[in-house]
Amino acid sequence: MAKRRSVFAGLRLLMRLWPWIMRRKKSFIIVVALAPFSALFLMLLPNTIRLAIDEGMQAGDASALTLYIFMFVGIFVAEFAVLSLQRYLMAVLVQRVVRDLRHDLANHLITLPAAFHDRQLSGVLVTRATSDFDALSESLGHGVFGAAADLVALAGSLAALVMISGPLVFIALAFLPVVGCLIGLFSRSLQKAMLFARAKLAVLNGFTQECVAACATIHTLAAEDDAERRFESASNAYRDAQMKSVILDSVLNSIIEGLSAIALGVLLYFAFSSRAITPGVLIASVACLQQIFEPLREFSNRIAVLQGVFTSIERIFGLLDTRIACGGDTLPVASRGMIGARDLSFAYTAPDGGPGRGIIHALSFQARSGESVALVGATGSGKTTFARLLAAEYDSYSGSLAIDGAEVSGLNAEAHRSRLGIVPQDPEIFQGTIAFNISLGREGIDAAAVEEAACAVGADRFIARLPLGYASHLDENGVNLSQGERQLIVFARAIVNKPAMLILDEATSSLDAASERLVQTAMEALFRDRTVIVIAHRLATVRKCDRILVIEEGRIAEEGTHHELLRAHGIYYAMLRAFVDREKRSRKPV
Amino acid sequence: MTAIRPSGVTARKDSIVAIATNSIGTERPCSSLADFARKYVFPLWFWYLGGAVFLTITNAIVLLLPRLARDLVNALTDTAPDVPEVFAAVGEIVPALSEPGVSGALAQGWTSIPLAIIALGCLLIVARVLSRILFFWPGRRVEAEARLDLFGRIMRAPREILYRFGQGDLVSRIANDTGYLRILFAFGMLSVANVILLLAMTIGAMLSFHAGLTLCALLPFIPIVFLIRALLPKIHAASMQNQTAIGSLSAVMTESFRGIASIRLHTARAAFLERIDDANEEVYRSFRRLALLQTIVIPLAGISVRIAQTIVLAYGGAEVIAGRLQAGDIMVFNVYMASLAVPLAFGGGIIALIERARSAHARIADIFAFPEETGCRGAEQRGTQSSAPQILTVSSLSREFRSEKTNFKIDDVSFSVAEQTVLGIAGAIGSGKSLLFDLITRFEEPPEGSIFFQGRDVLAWEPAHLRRKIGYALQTARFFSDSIRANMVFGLEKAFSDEEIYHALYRAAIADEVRGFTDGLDTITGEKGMRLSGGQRQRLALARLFLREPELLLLDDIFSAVDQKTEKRLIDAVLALRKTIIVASHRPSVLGNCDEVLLFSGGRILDRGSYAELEARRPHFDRGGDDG
Repeated sequence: MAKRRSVFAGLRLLMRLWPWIMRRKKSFIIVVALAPFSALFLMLLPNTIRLAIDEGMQAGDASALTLYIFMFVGIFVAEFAVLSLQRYLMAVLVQRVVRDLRHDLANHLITLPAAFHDRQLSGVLVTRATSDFDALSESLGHGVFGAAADLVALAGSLAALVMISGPLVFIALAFLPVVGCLIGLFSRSLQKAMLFARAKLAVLNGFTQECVAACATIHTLAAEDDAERRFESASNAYRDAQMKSVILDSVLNSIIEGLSAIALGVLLYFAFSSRAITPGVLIASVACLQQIFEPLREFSNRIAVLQGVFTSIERIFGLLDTRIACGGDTLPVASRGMIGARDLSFAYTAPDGGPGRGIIHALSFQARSGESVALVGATGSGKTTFARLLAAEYDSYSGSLAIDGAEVSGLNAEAHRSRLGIVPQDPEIFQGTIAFNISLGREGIDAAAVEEAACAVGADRFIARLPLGYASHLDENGVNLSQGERQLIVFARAIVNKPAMLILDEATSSLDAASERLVQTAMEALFRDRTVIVIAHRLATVRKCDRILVIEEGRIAEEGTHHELLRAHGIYYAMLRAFVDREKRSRKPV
Repeated sequence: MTAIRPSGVTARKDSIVAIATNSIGTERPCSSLADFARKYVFPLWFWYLGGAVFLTITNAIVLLLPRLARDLVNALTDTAPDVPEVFAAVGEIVPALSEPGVSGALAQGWTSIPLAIIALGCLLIVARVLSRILFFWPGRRVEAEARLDLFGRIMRAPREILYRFGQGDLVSRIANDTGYLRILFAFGMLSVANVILLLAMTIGAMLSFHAGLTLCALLPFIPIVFLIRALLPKIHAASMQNQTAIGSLSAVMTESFRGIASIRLHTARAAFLERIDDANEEVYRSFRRLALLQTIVIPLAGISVRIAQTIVLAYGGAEVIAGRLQAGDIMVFNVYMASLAVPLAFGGGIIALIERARSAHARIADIFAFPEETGCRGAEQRGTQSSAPQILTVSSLSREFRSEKTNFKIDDVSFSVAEQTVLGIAGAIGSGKSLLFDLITRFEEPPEGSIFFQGRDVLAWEPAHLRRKIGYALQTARFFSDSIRANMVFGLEKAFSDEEIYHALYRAAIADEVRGFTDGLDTITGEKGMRLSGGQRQRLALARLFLREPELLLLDDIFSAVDQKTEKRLIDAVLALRKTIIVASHRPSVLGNCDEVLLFSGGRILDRGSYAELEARRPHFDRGGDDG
C-alpha cells in the first residue's frame, strides 16, 4: 500500500535512479545543458515583442518592425528546435533508464534463491516488472523532468519580466509564495484523497475478480443480487472517493488560473499608476505574467504523477534491495553421484525472518553411486525438502550433507545444479519448440544431445509423428501434448545433461492409463547408470528402487528393500495397503 | 438511476412473474456507442447543460480580460477611440462601471479596470471549478452505472461466458473498458464543449476587431490541423505496437516467474533472461518510435500559435503604423492566439479518445450481447406432473454437448428420487455425472418435460429460485475475502444468529475448528485471509449449503479432496441430515450408504441397484465399469 511522503523522501527515492541515469551520461548532460537555452528563449520572446511594438509600431518605423519580426521568428524556431531535441532526448533517456533498470531487476529476481521465491507470488513479481515500469516510463519524463522544466521556465520568465519592467517583477514574486502555499496545501489533501481512492479501487477490483472467479458458486447460492448489491456499494464508494480528488484537483487548477487573472489586474494597476510605462512594456509584461503562471499550473498537475513515480520506485527498489545469498563457490569436481547425510536438520525461515518449524531432524543416510533410493511418507514429512536440499536450494541446514565428498552448503549452487538431473514437482512446459523445452537453452546442449535424451526416454516416437518434429512449437501450457507426453519432455530435460545423479519428485497428478504406461517405460531409462533419489508416489516406482526410506516427521522411520519392509509389517506395510486401496479406487478406465 | 437499468437488483427479488416479464422486456442496451450514450448519458443532460453554461461564462471571462487590459494599453497611446465599447462590455458584468461619469473620462476612471479584472479573476475561479465538476460528475456516474450493469450481466450470464472470454478478460472489461467510456463522457465532453465554445467565441471576438487580420492569423492553423490529422494514425499505430510489445513482455515475464523453480533447478536462467531482454528491447524500441512521433506532433500546436503571432505582429504592426489599429489590439490578438493553442492540441486528442471509447464499447457490447440465462418459461402450461412423493423425476433425459475438445452427453436417462432417500451415482470421469447435476440445476438447459422438481418442470422454475431449493455442492467451491460469517450468509436475505451459523458448521463437522480460530466466525478466509485446507474448504462449503436448508442436495464428488478420516465424518454428517440427496462418488464408503446406486457409463445408466447388488454383479464397478 502506498503512503504519503514528504518532498525530501520523494527526492531521496528519485536519487535511487541516479546510477542508471549516469549510465546514459551523454544524453543527460545534453538535456541539462539545453535547459538554460529554453529559459533564454522565454526571456527573449517577450522582449522582442516589446521592441516590435515600442520601436516598430509606436515609432512608426516599418524597417525596425521587420527586423524584430525576423528576430521573433528566429528565436521561436530556435526555441522549438531546442525544446524538441530536449523532449526527444529526455524521452529516450527515460526509456533507456527503464529498460536498463528492468533488465537489472529481472536479472536480480531470476537469480534470487528458492528462499525468496517460496514466499513471493509470481503474479506480484510480474506486476513489479511490468506495471510499475509502465508507470515509471509514462510519468518519469512527464512528472520529474517536466517539473524540472517547469522550474526552468519559471526562472526564465521571471528573468524576462525583470529585463522588461524591473520593479513589476515584485508583483509576480508576491504571488509566488501564495501559489506555493496553495500547491503545498492542496497536494497534501490531494495525495490523501488519491490514496483513499486507490484503496477503494483495490477493494472494487478485488471484489470483481473474486466474483468473476466464483461465478459458479454465486449461481449455486443464487446470490447474484447480493453480489450485485455489494458491487454497487464498492463501485459507488470508489466513484465518490475519486470524485473528491477530482474536485480538489479542479479547485487547485482553477484557483491558480484565477490568481493569474488577479495578478494581471494588480500588475496593470501598478504599471498604469506610474504612467511612465510604454505600451510595449505593458504588453510584454502581460505576456511574461502568462508565462509565469503557465508552469505553476502545469506543476500543480504533476502532483498526482509524481506520487505514482515515487510509489513505483519504492516498489522496484524494494525488490532490488532484497539480498539473499545461497551456496558457496566451491566448484563440484567428480560426479559419481555419492550422497552422504549425517545428522542433517533443517527448518524453513518463518515469514517474520526467524526460524520456522523443523522439517528434517537429524537424518543420516548414505547412497552409493548408481543406487536408487525411494523416499516415501505422508505429505509434509520432509521428502521434498530433502530433495531441495540436495539441489542446493537452501544452505542453512545443520549437520552435514555431502555430494561426492563436497559439502552442499559450500558448493556453487549453479555449478552443482548444472550437473544434476532434476524433475521438479510441478514441471513447466515453456513457450517454445520441443527442442528448447528439452535443452532450455543451456550451454553445451546441442541438437544431438536433445535427440539422444528424447530417444532415451522414448519421447522420440511421438515427436517424430509431429509435422515439425523437434521444431514443433508448444503452447504456453503445453496444451497440445498429452499429460504423459509432457512428462516425457520433462524427463528428457532432466537427463539431457547426462547427470550422474537424478532427483525425481514424482508428481501426484493422476495420469490416464496410456500416459502411465508411457511414463513407466521412460522410468527405466531414467534409472539406468545413475544415482536416483525419488520421492515416490506410484507403487511401480517404489518397487523398482534398490532401497526405500520411510520418512516420518523428518526422520527415517524405516529403511530396507520393498520385500524387507513388507515382511517387517511396519509403517511401510500399512502405507502400502492404504496406497493399493486408493490406487484401486482412483484409477480411471482405459 | 435504477429506472434506466434493464435488469435491476430490485427486479429479481421474489416474484417469478416480474422476472418473466423482465427477461422478455429486457432492452438490448448498447449495440452502438450512440445507443450507449442514449441509455447512460442522455438522462444526465442537465449536468452537462449546467457545465456548458459555466463553461461559457468561463470563456467569456477569459476573453474579456485581455480586452480590458487593451483599454489601458490603448490609453497609453494618445488616441483612445473606442473606450465606450470596452466599458459597455465591462458593464455586462460589473454594472457600476457603466455609470456615465466613468465611461466619459478614462483618466479618472482607469482604476476600475484593474479592479474589474481582479473581480473577474475571482469569478473565474468559481465558474471554472463548476464547469469542470459539472462535466466530470456525470462522467463518473455513467461509468459507475455501466459498470454495475456489466457486472450484473456477467453474474447472471450462463457459465459459458467464462469459457468464452476468460476471467482476466472479463475483469478487465469491467474495470478498464468502462473507464475509457468515462474518459470520453467526462474529459472528452468537456474538451469538445471547450473547443467549440472557445473557437466560436474567440474567432467571433477577433472578427469584431479586425476581420482581415483574423483571417490571416488563422491561416497557419489550417495546414497544421491537417498535418496533425495525417500524423494521428501513425501515432495510433505506434502506440498499438507499443501496447503489443508491453503485452508480450508481460507474457514472457509471467512465464519466467511462474516457472522460476524449473528454471533455477535446470540452471536455465541465461536462456530466459535473453527472452526477457529481447522483449524488453522491443518495448524500448517501440517507445522510442512513439517518442519520435510525439516530438513531431506535440509542438505543432505551439508552432502554429507562434506563426499566427508573427502574422499579427507583421500585418497588425503595419495596421498600427497606418493608424488603423492600436498597440492594445495587437496584445488582444496575441493572447487570443495563445488561447487557441489549447483546444487545437486537444482537438486531435478527442479523435483518439473517441476511437478508444469505441473499441472499449465494442468489448462491453460483446458482453451485453451474450445471451442471458433464460428465466422460467411458461409456468402455467407445464404445471404439476404428479403428486407422488417423488421430489425429483427425470424421464427420458437426453442432452449432448460437443466441441472440439469435449463431448459430454446424457442419453435417455430416467430415474426418480423419493423424499429422504439417498441416491448414489457412480461412473468414470466423463460418464455424464456432472452434466446431470448441471441439467437439474439449470446450469445447462434440459429439454422440455424431462426433469421435474417437486412435480414441476425445472424449466418452469426461475433458475435462482430453483437453486435456492436445490443445494448443489461443487467440487471447487469458492470463498470471498471476507469473514467466515459473511461467506456463510452470502446471498441470503434473512439475518442469522451465531448459533444458527454454528449449527450449520456443526452439521458439516467443522464447528470445532472454526471455534478454535482466534477470531471464530470473524476469521477472514479467501485469498487474502486464512488458508484453509482442502478438507476444511469442502466442509465450510457444505455448511454454507446446510444453512440454506435446501430441499434436495446434489453432492458432486466432493469427497475426493479430503482424507479418509474427514470423509467418514462428512458422510456421517450428511446422512444425519435426513435430507434427499444425490451424491456422485466412486468411494465404496459413500456408495455403500446409498439407498440406490446408478452406474453411469457414456451418458447412459448401465446398471442400477444397491451397492451390494452392483458389487456382486460387477466386481470393481466403482472403478468406472472396467473390470480389468
